[in-house]
Amino acid sequence: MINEIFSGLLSIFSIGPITGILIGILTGLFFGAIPGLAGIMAIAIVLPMTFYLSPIVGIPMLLGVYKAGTFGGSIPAILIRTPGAPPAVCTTFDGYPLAKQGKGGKALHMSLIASVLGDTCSDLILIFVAAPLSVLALKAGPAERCTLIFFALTIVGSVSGPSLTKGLISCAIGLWLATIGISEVTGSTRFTFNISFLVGGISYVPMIIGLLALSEVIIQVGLAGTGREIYLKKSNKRDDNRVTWPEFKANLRTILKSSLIGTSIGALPGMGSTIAAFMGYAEAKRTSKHPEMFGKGALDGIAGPEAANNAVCGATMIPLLTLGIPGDDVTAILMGAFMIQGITPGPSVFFEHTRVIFGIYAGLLLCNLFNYLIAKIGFPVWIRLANSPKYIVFSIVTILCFVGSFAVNQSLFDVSTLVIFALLGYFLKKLEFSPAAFIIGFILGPIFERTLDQSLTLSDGSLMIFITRPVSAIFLLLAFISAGSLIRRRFKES
Amino acid sequence: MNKHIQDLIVGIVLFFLSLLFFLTMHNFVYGGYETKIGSLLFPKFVISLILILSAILVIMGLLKVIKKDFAATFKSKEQKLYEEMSTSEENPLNILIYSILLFSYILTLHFFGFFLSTPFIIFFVMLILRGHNFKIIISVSILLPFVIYYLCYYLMRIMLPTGVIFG
Repeated sequence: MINEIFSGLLSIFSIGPITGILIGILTGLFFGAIPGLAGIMAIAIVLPMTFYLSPIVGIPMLLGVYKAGTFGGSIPAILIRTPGAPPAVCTTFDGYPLAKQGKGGKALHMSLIASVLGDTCSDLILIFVAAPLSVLALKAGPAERCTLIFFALTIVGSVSGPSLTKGLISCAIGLWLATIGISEVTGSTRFTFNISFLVGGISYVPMIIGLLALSEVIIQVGLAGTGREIYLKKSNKRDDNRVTWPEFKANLRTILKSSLIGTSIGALPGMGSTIAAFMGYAEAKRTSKHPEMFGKGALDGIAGPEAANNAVCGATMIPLLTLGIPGDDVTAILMGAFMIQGITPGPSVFFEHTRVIFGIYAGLLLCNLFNYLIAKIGFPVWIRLANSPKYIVFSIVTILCFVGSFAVNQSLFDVSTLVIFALLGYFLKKLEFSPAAFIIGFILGPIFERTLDQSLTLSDGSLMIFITRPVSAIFLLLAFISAGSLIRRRFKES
Repeated sequence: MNKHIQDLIVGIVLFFLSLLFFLTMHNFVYGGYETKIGSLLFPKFVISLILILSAILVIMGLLKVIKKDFAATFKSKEQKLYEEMSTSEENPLNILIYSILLFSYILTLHFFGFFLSTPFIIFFVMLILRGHNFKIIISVSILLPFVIYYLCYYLMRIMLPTGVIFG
């Protein structure tokens, strides 16, 4: 086991994984820096590429996209007051005022430092916490796993958007679509409508790319011609374009505190980096020596949310690796990427794929280093990208979506799936249904069905198995408490 | 269209679709062996969930329409203008043309292959997106397919469609 751990940690230091991470970071930064293209979109587009790579190359590459994409969202947030992703909303509050003062370089540097430190802190906690937790999780049987998935489905409430009912409907439709194809229990063919391509189920990758990436392009096409031009001034003073040592020292406490906030939130399924960013911002403001500066260009107003939202990246892997449940939409895609590689996330992954998991751990830390270096060296490029013409970017993305969908099975049916789900994703967003809830339902559906069938077979069809087994009963109780508190919160908000 | 009326229509459509599917579900299952639980336990549970949730959506939509539409009848001219302006920001014609382009790209990929169809699609997508620099539009339309093709072929060993006419 120890040998496997060391061999895994060292396996990342070879040309393949390092190239994968570099490509991942560049892609994440590229997508993050362009308003309208989010990191999750980049992950969806890069996903098919990872099938042709070993897990030790493919998974760190996706993690690189995730981390760099999360930081990248802050570039347009600071420079043109357009958050590249929802978690970067808080960064606009103080980042843009600094950019208007000609201190855009300083704001970007603070955002980068906070993001990388937040990421590293959360990765270290993942490395030291996940494996011991998985030992406990290994003791779970089908009933426990079934109620755990049921509990995990309550995370849909937090990604539902404005309407909880619509979020639940999206999730249920995802659960239903996951039943298309051959039943794992009886071997019967279900809901294929005599279409032979559907016997194996709906292709996961074209569906994800369609729902998340191409649907976004459709939205941007609809908005074409409504853009605005923003010109920023740039200070020539050296100190206005970097973070000085006293400034770093003054903000270190905020960064560490926000990193812990982000890690705690990331470890809880369904909370997400947007909540972390807002909490990081609120805490930074509460403990700041100059709260009156918030909203006018406070550096801790950038450090707080950026450290918190990036700290979510590593921590969301804790529930994924220990319990096999995705904490948010990005980890739902990562879960799919693991499964396509033949690795089922869950407690046994630490024993069955020790080398790969520890290779990924080392990859996470290496991602942070490369994220810092590449982002810092490439600042002039990212700044130009934030203002790049949309007609070039979105036409390239359109073609990449098609190529990515085709690449999986080299089938034009998958390309049709892409277009159908892109239109579905567009209408879901337009009608305020949540594509993220849909994806979570689709990913968790087969596991939910399998564990439900196994539990009911064991209990001879009796539902009492979920109540009589203590751990299962606890998860069920937690699910109801979580759902209850969510409904109460929604009522309060409305 | 009023958001609440939209919700109401979506709820009604979903309700009847899921009801129809619930009642005819057994017709869409073929083969397999008999078990005590069967193949339809989970799908039935999920479709029932959609039925209940869409009913809730209809009821909530109905309540909101009754409340709001009464007020909407007496909406001021300014309010109506504001609503029209905020909804007219999106250009539906662009979306329609883009969707047609996406479907026609699938067809042209099938018949003419990646090399012949991609430059035209890129060209038209750029035009819809208000591309104005024709030098860039033409050079990207021609160069991008080559770059993607060679990256796919040499890096990932993926053969992009060559088309039934030429392949």
